Amino acid sequence: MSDEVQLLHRLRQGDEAAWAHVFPFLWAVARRAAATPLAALPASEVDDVAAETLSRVATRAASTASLTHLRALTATIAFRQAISLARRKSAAKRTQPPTDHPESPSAEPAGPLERLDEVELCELLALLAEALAALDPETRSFLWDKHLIGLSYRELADKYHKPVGTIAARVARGLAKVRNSLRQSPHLLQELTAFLR
Amino acid sequence: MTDSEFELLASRILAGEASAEDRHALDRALANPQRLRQFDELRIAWTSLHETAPLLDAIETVPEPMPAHTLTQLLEEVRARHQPPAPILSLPAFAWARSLLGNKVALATLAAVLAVAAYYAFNLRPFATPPAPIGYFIVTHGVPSVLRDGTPMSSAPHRVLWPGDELRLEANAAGWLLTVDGLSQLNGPRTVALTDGEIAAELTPVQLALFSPPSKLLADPLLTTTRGADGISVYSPRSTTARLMPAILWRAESNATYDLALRDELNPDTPPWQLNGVRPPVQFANLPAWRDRPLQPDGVYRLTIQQSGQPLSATEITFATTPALEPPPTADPSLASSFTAAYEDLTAAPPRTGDALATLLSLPEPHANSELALRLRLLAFGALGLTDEFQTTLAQIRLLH
Repeated sequence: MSDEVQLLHRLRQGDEAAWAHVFPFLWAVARRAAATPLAALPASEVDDVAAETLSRVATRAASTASLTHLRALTATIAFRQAISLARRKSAAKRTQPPTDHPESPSAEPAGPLERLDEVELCELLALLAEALAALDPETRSFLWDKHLIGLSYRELADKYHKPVGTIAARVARGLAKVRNSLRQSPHLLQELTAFLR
Repeated sequence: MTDSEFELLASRILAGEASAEDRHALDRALANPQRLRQFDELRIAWTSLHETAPLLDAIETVPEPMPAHTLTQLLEEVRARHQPPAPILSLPAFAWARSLLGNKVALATLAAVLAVAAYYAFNLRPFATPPAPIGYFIVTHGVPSVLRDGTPMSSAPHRVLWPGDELRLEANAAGWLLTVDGLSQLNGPRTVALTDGEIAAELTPVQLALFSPPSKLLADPLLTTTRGADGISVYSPRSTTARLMPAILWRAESNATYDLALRDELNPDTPPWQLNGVRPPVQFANLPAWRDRPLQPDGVYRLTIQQSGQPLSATEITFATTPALEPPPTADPSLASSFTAAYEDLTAAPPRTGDALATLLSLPEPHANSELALRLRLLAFGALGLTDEFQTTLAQIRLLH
């Protein structure tokens, strides 16, 4: 039995030592996901959302297939809880008499991710995380900087001291591999086709 | 157009970096329904990555200390969920008592049995307390076995050893045995019986951290210094580093980015190494603008870290590089070499505490939170006076037992 399978088994059995191992990992994931700029929560509420998220995650260990899936589930729940909290705050503010407070950023729509249900978003994150983990580290860095930081091919070329053509080809190859991973889940691909137009 | 050429063209279009010629080429290609479907799938992959990038980043986040009270509360919930309270006499095992004697008689009988058991428990045997580890075995080759009370334990890449354990190495097995006397290499075939030896009255902090029972792991003397709670906790590099391109690690707030400046204190004319808007870990060796200018041996450097746009949050630490530098860590170190390197860093003179933490904080799950890793981390956090990290790690160690 691999270490990961053994750890998952212990989590499902409610082994406190195993949970004490993984909670700090999941805590970091939950806090990071809850700190989404779409919700713009203060730090104390981010911590509250993270604690609530971990409490929920611990009840759902039976349905997790891997540690990546457990992390994806944590990120999904924390993100949705944070958006939901921001919405409630925004709604409460709107029912109060007008004040000179600026419009809360939490009133912003959270984007297409919200249109996926929790199971779909979790599955998407796990698939993408596994696909990225399977890439060579440099290609993963290119895709990361492209999507997370928003660097152009020229900026990537400057940062990594490589020709623009090489960067573009590696990004394209990495993207094709991510596409191949998504093909493993036809129903998810169908949902995404509808949502991500 | 080959599939690769089409994927390259599609990527340029999706990145918004296509020329007019690219767009015409795509229009022509999409006349083919198969290419249209391929483009749709690539677009979905692209948009999915783009939309989920912050959450994927969250998934990859390195672990961070969590408030001890939150951890305790969550573990209590886990315990409550898996051990629902039930009236003991309602358990199937006591059906005989309910049917034959009735509840009151059964309760009285149970109380008497418990009283006798308690008498024996208190008078004949002390309550079992978690034992102190007598050693740790870190496997490098083969599958050594550990016998505890005559029963073979499941194989593991590293294991805590208790007094009375027997370590058996077949001919092809090898590993490192870490005891109160330090690290020693064992090669099979060999059998080692672990017995309580004579332990020096005065233990060093390393020996205390690794070989004390959990109840004896105390802030005094392991948490050696006190540090203000306002600064940013910097994990690596600290005190002395043997790495000319060290990993830079610190505790980051969830939604914050940081600006770094590294200055050569002995050569003020050297241009500083600077980086803005980053989050940990920052790998010196992965930064093209930095890796061509590694640190110098026997140098003294000042690292300043501040939250981007918040100069008042700036924290400064000074560290030295060792005169005789060790070879840089391999890109993909084995688990065994990570553990031994961390131990050697912590026991070096002077200790390379930041190097040890950089190694320990990059261990994969579940090894990152194994007893050996936690105890080494406790020692490092204590040595750096990082109170929050020390207390969280201490709580994690106690929860293992």
